Amino acid sequence: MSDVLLKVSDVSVIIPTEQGTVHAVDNATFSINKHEVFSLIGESGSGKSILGQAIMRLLPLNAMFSGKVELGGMEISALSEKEMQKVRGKIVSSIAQNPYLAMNPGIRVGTQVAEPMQAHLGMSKEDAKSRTCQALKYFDIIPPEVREREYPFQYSGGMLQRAMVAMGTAANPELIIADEPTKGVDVLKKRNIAAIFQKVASKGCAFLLITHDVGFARAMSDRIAVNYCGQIIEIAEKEPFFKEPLHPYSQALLDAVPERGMHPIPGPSPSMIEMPEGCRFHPRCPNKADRCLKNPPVVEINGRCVRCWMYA
Amino acid sequence: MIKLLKNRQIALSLIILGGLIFMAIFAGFLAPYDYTEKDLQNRLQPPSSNHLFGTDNLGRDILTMVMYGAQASLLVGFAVVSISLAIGVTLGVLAGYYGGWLDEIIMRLTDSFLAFPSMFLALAITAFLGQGMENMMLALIAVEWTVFARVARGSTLDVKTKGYVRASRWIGASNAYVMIKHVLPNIISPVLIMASLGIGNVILAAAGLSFLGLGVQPSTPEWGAMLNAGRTYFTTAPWLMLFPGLFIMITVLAFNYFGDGLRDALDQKMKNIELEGRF
Amino acid sequence: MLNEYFIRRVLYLVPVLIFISFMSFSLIYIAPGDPAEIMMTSPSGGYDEAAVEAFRIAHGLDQPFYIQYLNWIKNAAVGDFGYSYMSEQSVFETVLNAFENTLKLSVLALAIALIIAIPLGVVSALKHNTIVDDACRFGALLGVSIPNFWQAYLMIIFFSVIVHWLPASGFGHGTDISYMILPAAVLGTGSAAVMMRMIRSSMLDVMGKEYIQTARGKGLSEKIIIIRHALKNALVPVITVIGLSIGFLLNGSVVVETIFGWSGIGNLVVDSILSHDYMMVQGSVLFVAVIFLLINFFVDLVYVWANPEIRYDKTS
Repeated sequence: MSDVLLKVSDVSVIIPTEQGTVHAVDNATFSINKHEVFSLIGESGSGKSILGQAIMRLLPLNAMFSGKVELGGMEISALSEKEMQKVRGKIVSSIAQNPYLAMNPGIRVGTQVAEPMQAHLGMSKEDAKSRTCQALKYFDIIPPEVREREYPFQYSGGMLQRAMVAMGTAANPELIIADEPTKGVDVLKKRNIAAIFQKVASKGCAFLLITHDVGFARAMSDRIAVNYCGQIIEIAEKEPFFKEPLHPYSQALLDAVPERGMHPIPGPSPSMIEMPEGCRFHPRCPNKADRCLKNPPVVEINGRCVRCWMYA
Repeated sequence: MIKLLKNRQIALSLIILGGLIFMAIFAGFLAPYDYTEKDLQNRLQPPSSNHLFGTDNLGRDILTMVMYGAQASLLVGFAVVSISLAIGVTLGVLAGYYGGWLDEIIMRLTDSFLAFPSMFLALAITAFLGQGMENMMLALIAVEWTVFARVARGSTLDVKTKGYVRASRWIGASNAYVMIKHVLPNIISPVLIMASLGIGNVILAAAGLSFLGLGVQPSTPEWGAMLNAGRTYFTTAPWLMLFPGLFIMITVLAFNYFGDGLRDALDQKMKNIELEGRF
Repeated sequence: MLNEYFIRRVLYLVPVLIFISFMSFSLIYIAPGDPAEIMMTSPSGGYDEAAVEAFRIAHGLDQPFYIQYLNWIKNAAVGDFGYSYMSEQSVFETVLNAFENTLKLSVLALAIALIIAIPLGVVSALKHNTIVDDACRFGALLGVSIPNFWQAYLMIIFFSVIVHWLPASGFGHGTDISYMILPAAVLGTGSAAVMMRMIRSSMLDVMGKEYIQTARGKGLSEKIIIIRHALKNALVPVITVIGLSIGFLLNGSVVVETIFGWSGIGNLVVDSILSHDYMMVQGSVLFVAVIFLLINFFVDLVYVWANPEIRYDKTS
């Protein structure tokens, strides 16, 4: 039995807009193992969220998708919408960034948390309700019977976020995709979020953490992938990555954090419509060379991979 | 600007409006007959090659009357809306710009006028002033100005917070200058949309009032009045009512279509302006 | 919180009410001629000099303007709108009666409007940018542009003359519904046009919200998403929509009731004007304005109540 839970192969997403065609995701290839916490880090706007949406098959209507996504051996990128509905929420679930926007303000929290249970576990209303209360209690939302009947606006921010996690884990998914869980969140709350996620991970759930918060990724993950301008440019296990990042962008990214001196990366972020020729990072790279004008290959070294000519 | 004209909805409605305005202005030229020409031998004739829209109870050619009717309706529409716009925008901008008690007073005044359902207010004023086109227009202005006051005030409030307005005041521009050079140009869009929708509404209201016998003098060729005259014959000679009504609908539709298209094209916060179908 | 808002709104009403009453009262002064003569004119068109004098004194018409106004207000506040010499009835009673009839018609019209507008608005939003949507939107535009008196006659010609299903006009003692259907339909379709666009707008708005995306992420069927997550939130503005339609219905009633001979307040106002019964006109206009104001106020309150968030965090 393979350990691989999610396998993404050559996934690309193109979105036509008024300003031009956005190449949001370009030939993304990676896999996530069962029970593994996998982080995809990168700048805002680099296409990471779109990748998450692509896996869930929740792309905007005008987006064009190509490639293959396999979940638990099943090719979910080829399923019909109806079949995909059985997968979402049950095998793979997503947790959004802003609980107040993600929850329906007009429906009670308990009802929303119970929905995946009723839809995917075939539970009756009463069973779902008691299980919801258990879930709320597990996530320190007390008293659960009272909270279950309340509306989102009656919850504090942190509590609603936990409720969102309860909702995402309601049907016991195997993989959770969390998109920017710590965006705009202060350090204390970040710790709380990390704690909740760890609680969930300890039960065996795998995570795809999409974040720009390098510190958070470091605390939580088993493996790291770095995303730049729609491409995955490095994948490595956590310790080796932070000890010795291989790709020049990864190095620059880590140098930019406050602890290491906050050195900014020179040059502007590239546009996702008109991208640099060849290696997308080369205009800003201290090691750039002529060969960088051609698309660099993805090289495997010591169980890691890097998309850079330096290692070819 | 050109982009606006490329919009199908806007272009189409402008063409129709252009046609109607042309018809109104050149009615004297285009109409086959004189609208006062009575031909009692040929009263109540159904549409024929001689009389494309038929004749009325006095033998007058309906097509001719419809063409001249456009004059009355369009005149009332444009006149009422222009004056209402002038009054309303002035008050609205002043209220939005200065705020404070001036704003309060103007708003309460606006609310008071708006407290009356528009038709009732127009009726009441017409009732006491008497019949006639000018009185009807006065009544309609009394109703319509509030719309522009509200829109102008809202837009002014929006614009007031913008950087360039504040900067302008910091460098010492007088209030009048700021209002004229900065606020006004930026509220043109919503005001224009309301104007177009407003003309449509005014035309409907004027036709309605004339239909009730409370608008224009009965002998004037006006679409609403024609419908009123045709009431007695609606079973025996329905064409008396059919054509004027049809033209009212087409005209109002064109104005609404235009205003609608304008609003969709100018997008953003303009979505709040809804067709209220006031009359 | 809510109370503060409520009190503030009530306070705003007061100056407006004063303005309205003042405006209604002044109406008679913009008419050419002497108010006392105007009010004492009998149906035959003449008036008795002595009676006019007596009237003047009795109603304080020789008093300064503001005292007359205050007297008038005092009376109006207790429901004494005066007595119409023209129609020989108490103004208030007549107006109240007429309003009741208009109410009956309006309720039926609203029902018709909602039955048409809600499904069309929702479907139009769900299928937005397709032919169905375009057709519905054009239909709505048509509904707002068509003169209601013309539409009324078209419907009469079809339903009464051609197929003989419904009576062409008449009051039918106010209880026979067949007399109500056509006028209510004319009013209702016009309202439906206005409502449909708002409902569509609201539905589109809701469908674009993030919580709908979340619901999809949970793997819920589109049917559940629409019914449980979207509709409830999309229809909250229905209350406001109904409130806005009240104005439309009242305005429409003027012409529609006249055409169909329905003894409602629209008909009353028109008749009174044509017969120069100015007391009645003044009374009806004031009555309608006050009721309209109160209804709008009420609708506003309900809207705030229905939005729990606004309740707890209010900036007007």
